[in-house]
Formats: sequence, structure tokens, C-alpha cells
Amino acid sequence: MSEIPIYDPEVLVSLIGDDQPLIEEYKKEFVKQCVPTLRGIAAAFNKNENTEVKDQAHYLKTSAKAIGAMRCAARLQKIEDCALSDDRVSLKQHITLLQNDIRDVKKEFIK
Amino acid sequence: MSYEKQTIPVRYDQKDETICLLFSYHGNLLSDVPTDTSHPIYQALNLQLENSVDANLLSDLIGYENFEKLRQASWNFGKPCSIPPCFIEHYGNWDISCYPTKLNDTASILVNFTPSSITTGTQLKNSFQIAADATGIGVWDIRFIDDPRSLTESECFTNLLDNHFIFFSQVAKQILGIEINKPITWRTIWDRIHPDDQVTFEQFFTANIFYDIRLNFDCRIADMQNQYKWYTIRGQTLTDQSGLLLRMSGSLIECTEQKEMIHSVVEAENTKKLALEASGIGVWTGNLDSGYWQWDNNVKRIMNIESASVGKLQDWTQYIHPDDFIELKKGLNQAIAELGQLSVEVRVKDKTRQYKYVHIKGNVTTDVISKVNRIDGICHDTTAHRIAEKRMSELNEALEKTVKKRTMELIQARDLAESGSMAKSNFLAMMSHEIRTPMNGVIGALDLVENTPLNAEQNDLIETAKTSALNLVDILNDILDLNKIEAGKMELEFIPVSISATVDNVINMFTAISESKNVELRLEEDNALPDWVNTDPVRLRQILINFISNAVKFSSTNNEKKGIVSVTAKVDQQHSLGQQKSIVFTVSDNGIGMDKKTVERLFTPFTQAEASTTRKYGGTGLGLAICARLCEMLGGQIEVQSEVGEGSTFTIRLPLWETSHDSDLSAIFGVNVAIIGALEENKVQWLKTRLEQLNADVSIVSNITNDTLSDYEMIILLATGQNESEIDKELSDLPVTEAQKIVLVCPRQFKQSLWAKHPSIQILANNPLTRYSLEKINMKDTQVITENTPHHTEKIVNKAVDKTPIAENLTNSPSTILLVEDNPLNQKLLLKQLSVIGYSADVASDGEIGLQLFSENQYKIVFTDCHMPKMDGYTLSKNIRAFEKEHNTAPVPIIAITGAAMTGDKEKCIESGMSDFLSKPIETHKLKEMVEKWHERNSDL
Repeated sequence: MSEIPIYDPEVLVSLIGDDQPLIEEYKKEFVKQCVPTLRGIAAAFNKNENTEVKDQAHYLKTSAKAIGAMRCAARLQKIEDCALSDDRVSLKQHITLLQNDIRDVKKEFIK
Repeated sequence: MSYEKQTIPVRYDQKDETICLLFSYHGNLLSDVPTDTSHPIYQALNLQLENSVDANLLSDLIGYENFEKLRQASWNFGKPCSIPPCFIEHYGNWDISCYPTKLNDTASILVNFTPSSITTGTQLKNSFQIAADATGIGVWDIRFIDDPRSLTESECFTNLLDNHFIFFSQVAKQILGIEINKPITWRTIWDRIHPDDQVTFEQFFTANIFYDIRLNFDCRIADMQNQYKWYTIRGQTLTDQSGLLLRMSGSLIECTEQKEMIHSVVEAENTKKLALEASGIGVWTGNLDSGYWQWDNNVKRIMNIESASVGKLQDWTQYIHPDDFIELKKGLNQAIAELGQLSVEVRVKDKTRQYKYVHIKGNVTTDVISKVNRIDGICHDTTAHRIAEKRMSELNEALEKTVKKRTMELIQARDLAESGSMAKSNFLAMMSHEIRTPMNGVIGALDLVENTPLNAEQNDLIETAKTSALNLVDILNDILDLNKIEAGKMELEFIPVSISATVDNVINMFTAISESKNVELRLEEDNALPDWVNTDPVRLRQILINFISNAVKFSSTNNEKKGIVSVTAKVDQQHSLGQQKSIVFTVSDNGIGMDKKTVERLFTPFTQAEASTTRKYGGTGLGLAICARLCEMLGGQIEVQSEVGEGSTFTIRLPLWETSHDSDLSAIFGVNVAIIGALEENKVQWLKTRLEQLNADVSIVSNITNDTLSDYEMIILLATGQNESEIDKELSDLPVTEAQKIVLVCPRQFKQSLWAKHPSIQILANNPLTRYSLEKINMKDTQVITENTPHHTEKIVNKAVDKTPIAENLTNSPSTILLVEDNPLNQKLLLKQLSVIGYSADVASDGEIGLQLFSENQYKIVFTDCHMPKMDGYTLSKNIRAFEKEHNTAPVPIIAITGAAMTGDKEKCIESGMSDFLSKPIETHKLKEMVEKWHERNSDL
């Protein structure tokens, strides 16, 4: 998945135009959304509630796509797929990696 | 090869024209030569005289070779001699003879020239020679001046060798490898004849000359390269009418190839003959047309034939046993009919009228027109083989009997040993069960008494009694283990095991006892330790418990030093390979230590340092022996370093395979964590790394303000160097909101009191702080969570059972637990223990009643003893599962309660459909854990 860019700034520009203050606001909103969703996914995983995992992942995936967090979006898609196929081992691996992906996006936002 | 046509230009036909001329010894003409004559010899001489008077005219006239032959013969023999007809170019063939004489005391010779009468013969000879040359046959001819038979055989042979009146054809010289123009005698050839063939050569020549025996022999003659080749020399003497020996003529043929071929054939034949003779195999042939059979001497000997080697079939089969003869004829007819092979074994009567065994084999062949006409075969005496076979068979039979007898003896011995071993195992199992069952009562009762209001002295007595009872169970377990190991029946199970959880569990077992002994228990865990490894959790735990228990036991604090026990768990990266990790546990103490001699016999069963050790510290000396064997079974090793008075270090190296496990994500996954407060520098980093491994976002915060802490969901406060009141104050002053979770790391002794004051926080003891305790930090409501953590177990073990009933479990509700137990004491005890933890149970005294109750009520758990009258626990379990299947209901957890702890008991329980296993004696906290583990699984009920 390393071939997928972490963050593509053009995505948001193409959606709302080059309005930097608004872009920054969206970025902050995304980061804010990430933490509880990630923990929600982890908690649902621990409870073995795959539908909840899939729903949470889907929720964050739409935001990630809109913001241009491409790798996060791809990871969340994987999480959705694993939750659907009940592949618990891969699901755990992807949730762990999602945390890294979110960290990477945060770093990109600071640049 | 080309020949010039020989012509005679001058035909000299006058009969008496023999002329006699005198020549010097050197060939100078001494006679006068008439000039007015037409005699060809005179003409020839006159022609030469015109050129030189002093020349060797005789040599010029008849050729040097002939001149030399003439002169040598004449002077050597000292009497008249003649040479074979000599061809003088342009003047025809002449018979030349000479007489040695003297003129004025000068040696001279009289030479007669007579026109040769064999002119035609010469032409004929040439034709033969052409034919001979064309076929590669060399010819030779030797002319005798005197009859050689007048000499002795030896002289004759020497004369023959040196006779210069000899002719060898060009082909003869060529095949001998001699230059064509070089004059040779038989001597030239003799010198080159192989020494072994020289006698033959001499004998054949002399025999031919003296006895007219045909000259025909082969000999080896070396060529110019000194390589021997084979030649066939043939010849015959020629005599005149009066029987006077005139000449000897013959041929010379090279026959190396034929000779070698014959040699090979002869050698092969000889080899075959020798082999057949050596093997005693007889060869026979039967002509089916003529009905005649041939056989060799071996056949004669084998078939007991008296004389002839040719005869009828009956001749060589006369001594065959009549029954076998019928078989032989049958086989023979079949082989002829099918153009196949004959192979029969017959009995042949020998000279002592004893029968011997003969194997006859044959092969039928056809002639050129495909008509079956002969059979060739062999026969050999197989009596010895038959006898050997018979003896071998007898020997085998005897051996088989012996082996059978020995096997029977061994089986009996084995059965005896096995029955002994089985009796021992059964005895141990029975004793195990019989001791555990009453011990269950003892420990359970003590457990219950411990939870009643007691004064300090009573508490102390109860504690002692309980410890003694538990020790007794431990000793029993050790004896059972050792017995299993030594009987080779110890079976390890390999399942995913968390090293951190195991270490945490073991360390927590010893915190109370080390505290009571004022021994500091230190722990260092490598963050590189894999989360899960494949090993036997029970045995890993047993090994660690044993070493730590010993370390604590043999350490103490006195005025001079503080007792310290250090445990480390690390990965030896150097000796790890891929998934296989070399995990190293070290347990060090600064206790009494051991001398070298003690260390050497440390792992021998029932061995302690010295008798006084047993008296002072107790124990059976089985623990280390068991650990050493368990380590060995796990593929590991143990090293010991010890010094008397200084302490000991045990290093346990285990090769453990890292494995993945379907475990939950950490409860602090993705949580922002701030670490504040003081701890040793490397410990803080270790803590941070571990929390990060648990997927928390961790920061170390030094400047503590509202602002700096507001972003964190969890605050970990390190308060290891402060006293209780300081910690209390710091907790109260912490600038945090209610939403923020606080985890306090402090000395164990402050835990309870601080907990009472700050019930919402989680408290982890730092002495020692385990990796596993960090895994158990979570974001939920602290009070509830801590009750379910293993740390709480520690509290139960050492203090009292938490009597708080789980909210759902109302005492007036129908019982959700079925207890099937035949022993009234155990029934009473278990009911009491269950009531202590807030549960009631229906009781059945055997499996039949248990099954009846199960079918009539709804239970969340069934506890059942295994060995009961009427229906045992295994059958009950099977019947319950069958009932559930029949009524399509969810399976209810069935927990076995058994006094037996032998290998396979757990498996037997699981196989019969049980869910878990509790070994007697059952302590209340273990019962509680089991109920908590399984009770809520059937929450729907």
C-alpha cells in the first residue's frame, strides 16, 4: 500500500477551491474525527462486532477520500473488506496499520 | 609391382658352348677372350673390357650378389660349387659353377658359364611369383651347393642359415620389414626370431631336410621396430633324380591377425573350459535328427556314465530316478515343441547307490531352414545346495522357534513390567485422587474459615494450616510429574502463550511472600519479547515458579544486607533465528548460594544442598530435577552460577517459536497518553515503548499545567519515590478533568489506601511493574475493570475473597449452576464457596440425577465430578450434549471437577464434551474465576 500517496492536497482543492482557511478547517475536522473513530473501530473489533467495524470504517473512509487522505482511505477499504469476510487476523493487522496511516496524514498536514 | 619383360636377345643354341674362364679372387678376368666369337659371354666381356681391364668383370657380369655368393661358396667350402640360374641382362639365363684354384700361388676361380635349360622355368617361376606377390605371399628359395644331408643336423642348420644362394621375393622382404635391395640370408631372419620360436624353426627346417617332414610352422619374427609379428613359413625340399637335395623353396605369410584371433578364441575356449571344469558344470548336446547325444567328462561324472562320451539319450540318463526321468522327458518334449528351454531337477543314483540332485538345463535351437535339430545344455550337481538349503531351512525353523520362545518371554517380561508400571501409575492416580479429595475439603474449609472474623493468632494458625495443605498438594503434584517424566508419559502441549502474562502471573504469586520476607522482587522484561509464543503454558509457568520460589526461599533480609531476587526475561537475538526466538529467563538471588559440588548434583531428584537445607527450608528436592527435565523436553537448557554466601543465578534458555494469536487490540489503542512524574530514566523509556507497542500515542510531559495535559485522554502518573501523603496530594492537585483517565504507578504498599481515596483511578504497583499490567490498562470505569483484572486475583489469594456478588446474580433467583458431586463434604464445601462469591447451585449426587435436573431446568454452568456412582461425569457430559442437540439448545459450559491430575485427564474431559477443567483442591478464587469465565457466556438463559 506504500505506493498510494499519504495525502493528495489537490483533492480538496478540486472540491472546494483553493480556500486555504477552509481547507485547514476541514483538515482539523478530519483529525478530530480520526481518533474516536479509530478507537471505535478497535473497540468494535475487540467485541467482535464486524458490522460496527465496517460501519465505522466506512464513515471515516468517506471523510478520508474527501480530504485527500488516500492511503487512509485505501486502508479503511481494506478494513471494510476484512470485516465483511470475517478475516480477523488481517482485520487486526489493518486496524493497527490504520493508526500509522493516520499519524502519517497528521505529519503531512503539519508540513 | 612391375616387371620388365625378360627377353634373351641372343639365342645361343650350340650345345657344347659351355665356356670356362679364369678370374682372380677379386673378379678380374685372367683368361683371354676371343674377339671373333658370337658367344654372348665373350661379347659381354669384350664390351666390358673396352671400358676397363682391371675392373671386377665377373661382378659386373653376374651381379655383385651372385659374385659374392659364388666366391664365398667356392672359397669357404674349398670345392666346386654352383649358383642358381643367373640372369645376365641382354644375354639370358646361365648356369654358373666355379672351382677354386691357384695360379702362381694366387687365389683364383674357374667359372663355367652354361646356357641355362630352365629359361622357361624361370618364366614360370616369375608367373607364380607375380601371383604370390599379388596375394601378399612372400616366397623364398635356397639352393644347396652340396647335399646338406652329408653334414650333421647342427652343421646343416648353420649351413642353411649362412647359405648365400638364397632368394627372397620383394613381398617376403616387405612383410618382414626388410629393405628390398638388401641381400639377406636365413641368418638375418633367425636373429629376429622370437627366442621361444627358434627351436621350432631349427627343428622344422632340419626335419624337412633330413626326414622330408613337411615344413609348415608359425613363428614370431621382429620387424625393424622390434615388434613381433606372426609368420607362417612353409616350404619343401627339391631333389634331383638321384635323390640329391638341390634346393628348398617355400612361402612366408604374415598371420598376426589370424594368430591373435585364434589365440583369443583358444583363450576364450580355455577359459570356458576351465570355468566349467572348476564349477563342475557338464556340457551336453543332443542331435534330434540323428538321436545322438554328446557329453563331456563333467556330464559323465555327474550322470554316472561309465565310458563313452557319445550315445543315446538313454545312455546318459540311465541312472536318473524313474519318476524324474518321466519329468525330464516331459520337459524335453515341451522344450522341443515350444522351441523353448528345458529346466528340470532330477535325482541321479551315484556309485554308492545314493541319490544326488542334478539340475539339467537346455536350449532348443533350429537349423538354417528353421527345423528343430539340436538341443544344447548343461547339468550340474545341486546336492550340496540342496543339503545346505535343507540345513538352512532346519536352522531357520530352529531359529524361528527360538525367536518365538524369546519373544514370548519378552512379551511376558514386558507385560509384567507394564503391569508393574501400570500398577504404579494407577496407584499414583488413585492416591492423587484419594489425597486430593480430602485435601479439597481441608483447603476449602480453611478458605472459608479464613473469611470469617478471626483474631490475629487464629488467622496465623489458619494461614499455616492452609500453606501446609497447599504444600502437600504441591509435593503430590511434583511426585506425579516426576513419575510421568521418568515413565516417558509426560506430554507437552504447544499452544499460543503470552510470555508477559505468564511472567505477570508468576511474579504476582510471589509479591506477597517476598514482601512478607522483606525480600525485594525485581523484574526486568525486554520489550523485544514476542507477544505470543508456542509452548506449554503450564510447564513454562511451572519452571518459572520453581526457580523464583527457590530464589525467594533461599533469600532473606538481615542487618547486613537486603534480600533481593531479580528476574529478567529477554530475547537473545544472537541465538534467535527468524520466528524461533531464544528466550532467556534469569532468576538471581543474593541468598545462601551453593558450592560447586552441590551445583553438580543439583538436578538429581531428591537432592538438596544438604540435609540441613531440607530441615531449614523444606522441600523435597524434586522441583529442580523436574524443571531440568521439562527444560530438556522444551529444547532448552539451564545454567547455574552460584557462590556460597553470595547467592545464585539460574539462567533458563528456551527456544520458543513466535506465533500470531487472535487476540484483541489493546484497550488503549489510539489513546493519547501523557507520562508525568519520576521514574528511573531507562524505566520511563521502557514504559513509553511498551505503551507505544500497545498502539497508544505516548508523550512524556514534564511541564504539568492545564494546557499541557488537556489534550491527553490518559495521564500516567509515576510516583515511585514519594510517600503516600505526597502521592495523595499530587493526585488531588492534578489539573485534569473527569473525562481524563488517570493511571498511578506507585509502591505496592500504598495501593489499597490510595485506592480507597481515589476510586476512579487505576493503580499499578511499581515493585515490580510488569509488561502485562500495562496491557491491562484501559479506558473503562476503573472499579469494574480492576475487579476483572488478574491483579485482583493477587488480592484474593493473599487477603480475602471478594464477596461482592455480581449484580445479575440474585440470591432469590432460581439456581443457574448445577453441581454434580457424590461426596457430601465436597457438595457442602462447593455450595459454600459458590455462596461466598454470590451464587447458588442445585446439587445432584450422581450423573443420573444430574441429567434429570439438567433436563428439567435451565443452567448457565454445570460443575461435575468425574468419578461418581451410577453415571460418571464423562457419561453425564455426553448425555447433556446429546440432549442439547436433540432439543436444539445452545451448549451449556460443563466444568469438570476432579481429584485426578494425570496426563490425559483433561483431554478425556474435553473429548466427552466438557468445556473446562478444575483440579481439586479448589480454592475459592479459582472457582470464582471459572464462574466469571463461563457464567456470562449463557447470558441469554
